[in-house]
Amino acid sequence: MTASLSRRSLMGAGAIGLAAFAVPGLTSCSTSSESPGPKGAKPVTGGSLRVGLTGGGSTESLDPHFQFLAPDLVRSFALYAYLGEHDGQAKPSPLLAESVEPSDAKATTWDIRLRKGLEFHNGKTVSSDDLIFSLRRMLDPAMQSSGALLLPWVDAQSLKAMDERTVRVTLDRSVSIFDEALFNFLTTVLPVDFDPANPVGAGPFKFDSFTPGDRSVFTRFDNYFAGSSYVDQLEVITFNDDTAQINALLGSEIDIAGGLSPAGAAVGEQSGITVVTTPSMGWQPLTMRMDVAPFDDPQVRAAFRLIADRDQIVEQTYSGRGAARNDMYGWDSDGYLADVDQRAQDLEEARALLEAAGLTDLTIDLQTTPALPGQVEICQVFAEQAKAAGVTVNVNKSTPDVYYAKHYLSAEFATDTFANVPYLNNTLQCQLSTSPYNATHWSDDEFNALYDKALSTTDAAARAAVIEDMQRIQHERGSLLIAASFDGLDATSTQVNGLRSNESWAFPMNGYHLERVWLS
Amino acid sequence: MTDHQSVSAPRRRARGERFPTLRRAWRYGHTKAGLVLLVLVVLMAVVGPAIAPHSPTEFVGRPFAPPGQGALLGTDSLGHDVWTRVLYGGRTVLWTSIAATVIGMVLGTTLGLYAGFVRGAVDGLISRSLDVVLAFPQLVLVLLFVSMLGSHLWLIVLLSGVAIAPGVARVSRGMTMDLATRDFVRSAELLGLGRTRLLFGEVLPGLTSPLLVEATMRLMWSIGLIAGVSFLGFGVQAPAADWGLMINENRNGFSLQPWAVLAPVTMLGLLASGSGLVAEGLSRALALVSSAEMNP
Amino acid sequence: MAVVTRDAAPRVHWLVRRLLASLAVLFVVSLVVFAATQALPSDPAEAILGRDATPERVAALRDQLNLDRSLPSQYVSWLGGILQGDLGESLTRRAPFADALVSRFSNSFVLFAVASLIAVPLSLVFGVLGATRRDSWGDRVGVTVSLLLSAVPEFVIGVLLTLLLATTVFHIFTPVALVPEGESILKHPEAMALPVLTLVLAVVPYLNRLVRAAMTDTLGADYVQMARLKGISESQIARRHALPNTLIPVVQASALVMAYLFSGVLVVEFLFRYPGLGTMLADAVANRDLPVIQAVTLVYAASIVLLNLSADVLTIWLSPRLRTGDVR
Repeated sequence: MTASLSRRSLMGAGAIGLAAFAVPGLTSCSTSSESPGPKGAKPVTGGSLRVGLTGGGSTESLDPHFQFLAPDLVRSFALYAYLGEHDGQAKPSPLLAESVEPSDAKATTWDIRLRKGLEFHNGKTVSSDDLIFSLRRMLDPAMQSSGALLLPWVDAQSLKAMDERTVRVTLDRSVSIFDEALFNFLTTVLPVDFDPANPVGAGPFKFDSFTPGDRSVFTRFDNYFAGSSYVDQLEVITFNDDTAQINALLGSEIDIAGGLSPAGAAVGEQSGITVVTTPSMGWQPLTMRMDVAPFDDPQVRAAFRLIADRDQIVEQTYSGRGAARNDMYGWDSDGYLADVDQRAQDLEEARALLEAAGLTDLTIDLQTTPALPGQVEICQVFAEQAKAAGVTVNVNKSTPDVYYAKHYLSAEFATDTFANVPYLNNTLQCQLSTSPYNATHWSDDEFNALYDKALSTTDAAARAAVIEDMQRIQHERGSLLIAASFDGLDATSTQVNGLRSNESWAFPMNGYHLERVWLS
Repeated sequence: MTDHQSVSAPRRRARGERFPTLRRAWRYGHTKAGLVLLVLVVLMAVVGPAIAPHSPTEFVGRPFAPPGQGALLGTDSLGHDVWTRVLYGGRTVLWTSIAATVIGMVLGTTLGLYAGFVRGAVDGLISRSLDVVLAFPQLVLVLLFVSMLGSHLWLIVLLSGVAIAPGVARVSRGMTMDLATRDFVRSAELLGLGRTRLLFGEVLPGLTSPLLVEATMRLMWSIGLIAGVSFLGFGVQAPAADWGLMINENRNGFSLQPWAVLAPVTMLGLLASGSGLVAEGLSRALALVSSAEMNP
Repeated sequence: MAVVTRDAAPRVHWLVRRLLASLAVLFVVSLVVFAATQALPSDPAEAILGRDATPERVAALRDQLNLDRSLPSQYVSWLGGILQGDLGESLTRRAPFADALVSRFSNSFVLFAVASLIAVPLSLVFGVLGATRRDSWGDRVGVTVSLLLSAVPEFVIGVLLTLLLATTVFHIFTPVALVPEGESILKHPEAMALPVLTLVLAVVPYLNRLVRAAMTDTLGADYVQMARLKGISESQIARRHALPNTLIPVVQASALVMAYLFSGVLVVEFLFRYPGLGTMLADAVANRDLPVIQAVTLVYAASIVLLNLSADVLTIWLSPRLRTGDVR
């Protein structure tokens, strides 16, 4: 027993620390399996944990409100603590917040109450002034953070400190799921004198050094509210290359290789490395713009959805590490339409529909970019499948900068990647006319009305019923082709303990909770 | 520059003595082996698609599956049949490296001819321009323009040709300077032959043998250069089957399924080796030691 | 052999002319580099902002980067800055990158130097051996192996070596060079093992055949025949007569091969994540980071020009005949 563990046990129910050591499978989901280490081994403190990631670059940033790249997110979760998250059971779980409750019946005002005794790295107590500062920074139009788009209903001027750890938020409409929306990866609490060059947060690790595109070092913060980390130091290293990343793990130069491609994971397994799987961590839709030809015709959209051989997509794109999906997201949310038949490939019907629409020998460009593993491959697989239906799909791969400048949100047929977050959160991101990532320009009156209703419905069961109706619309005439979900894959060396497979995190490495990892 | 010994001046020879260099070269084991390799690879590239068991974009199994039924050499990163893609993958490499070599040879030879013959300011200008091109590492030159204009095949071919040209130009310049002093050229000049006719009619034929050696060497180089460009991700794009691209696409699964990389490596190696062996045979035949081999 | 005239003036003359020519080449190179980066089809500001490109932000960035000034004006200020040591800011890091460039350059230089120091002598040895034992069984094997190896692209050699020595068969070396940014590679010499081995295996097969060819040529020359007739032993001939005269073309060839090494180094660095100039360029190209692309390309070109200049100086020094200033 170490000091940190006993502090952990003092935190009381609901503390994340205890939850991590709960008996596996207690709350729901499939059996989770632990990362290697002798069964029942006691955690040990000490050591330096080295995490290698791809998908970074010299545009990496320590600013918590500008997090796009995978290495950025790892650092954010290390340095800063969030108000809450969606945990391994896909349920909203408060972190820095003690509670997030509506303070009126219509859920137009909410009270965010911080835990008692929270400290920043510099010893200062976290107070409601800090929370107000952080929220204002996130919502500030001059900052142009995407955080503002994730909480569009908040009136920044109205934020009011009710006491030294409670803040009242006034929304411009009734939002029953505000707590769910609040628990995203941008809503952190920063001290009022926050300086991005020398970042101070309330996360489990303190800042030591940072070189964008290369590596960063963090040291343990002893007073982390959920119990200090086991390892003394955390190092985050960016790799340009899948191969270099997995080779570094095999050569014992790093301890964890996060966010692997299926091939990388297979290489690791071949060498006896353990792979931590986060099933169905995200989804990569093919986006069909419904306000221009040819996808303005719902028959054409339906035809394309019938072209997809979903099992083959899972097999060829993700090497089987994923699941076939039914053109709907939010499969972990209440109200997911599970009783609808799984759509399968039906080339005859697809051809018939296309003929009816007058598009027998259709040729179309599909825009993609290698932003994440699978995003290009899924296009190539679909293009091959489309041939059998008489459709010629030209996959156009651009580098991320060109893709996001030229094609993203404007191409008629393109791709994207989303994390598996609660249904209404995903909807807010991409299926409203006000959404920041609405590549399909989806706008359906019936759907919008239902969304409004869902936001205003405070009763969870009633809300689930509304969500079901929304999904029915998306399933019938939606503009997203969601053929599959993919698993998150992390490989760890045998010294690493504390990471569990088969939990429903939205992010790799158990939601980036590296403070729970120990080295044996 | 070392003297070369065997560029012959008279143009008309008896039938049995035509192309003495080639005949001599043929006698070496090197040349025979090289030609065999080249023919094999070219045949495979040209005829391959006709005998392939699958389509190069068809899925025959899980990605990086080991050799088994339906996939003689296993599958690649997306689940295609490696053997089929090897059969289809030579065409682009062949035409791009041949095209680049041709461009380089034509450009280099012409520039060299003019520089070597006219001398003076023209020579200075051409030589300096070549020095500018030579100042860039070949790959950097290609990358510089590809990064700005995008990875278009024609651009890569053109740039590779430009990168190759200076070496060729140096060779032809050197030889032209030497040939220009010979009697048969002088007499043609006195006869009032126009410069172009002079260069391409009288001088150039004398250069054919060393240029042939150059060409085979350059072919070997351009294969490596273009494969390198593909490796960095700027060449042919998926899902096209191309040997260079296959090495890039499949290298992260090498330990899972080595054939997806080894097969295209072997083909590229055979192609380049064949070219190199033929070059070796030709150069020995010419007993040409300096110019051809000394100018990469 | 011509009579040596020790006349310093033509040598200095020649040196000065050579230097001026090199400078002229560099100037034109800078023009080419600058012009190339103007060929970008997409707006550099848009390309950088990517996902967050709004018209206001694009305009602000364009202003910040002086992209709206006339081309000649941009070129002059860019060149002027470089000559004063101000390389500008990296577009992606929004910070000066001169220090990073120096550090990366020195790492690449070390890799290049170590590889050359091993490859050149090895090539000389194998080349001379091959020439003196020409057409022997060993020589034939050597030539064939060299031909085959030199046909294989260097990154393939690197991949195969990684699998053989680092990850799959043996585990002797580290597969990836994990060196903190800014630290010299000399503090982590083990990270150079695989890259150097790859480069040596890529270069020696080619260079040794050049040496062999040059040597063979020399060994066939008249004065060597004379020496043989006089009864001087083969090894003496090789050492005293053939080798010195082979050195000139070998020096030229080595320079050209080393220039080729620059290309090879780029790919090898990329493969091993070696913290050198090559990976810096590859990253910059991926990010369309114009100032960095320009600066790194210039550095490469300057290095090659310097290399060639050194080779020419060495050649002049080695060759009495050429010292009189009658140089082509």
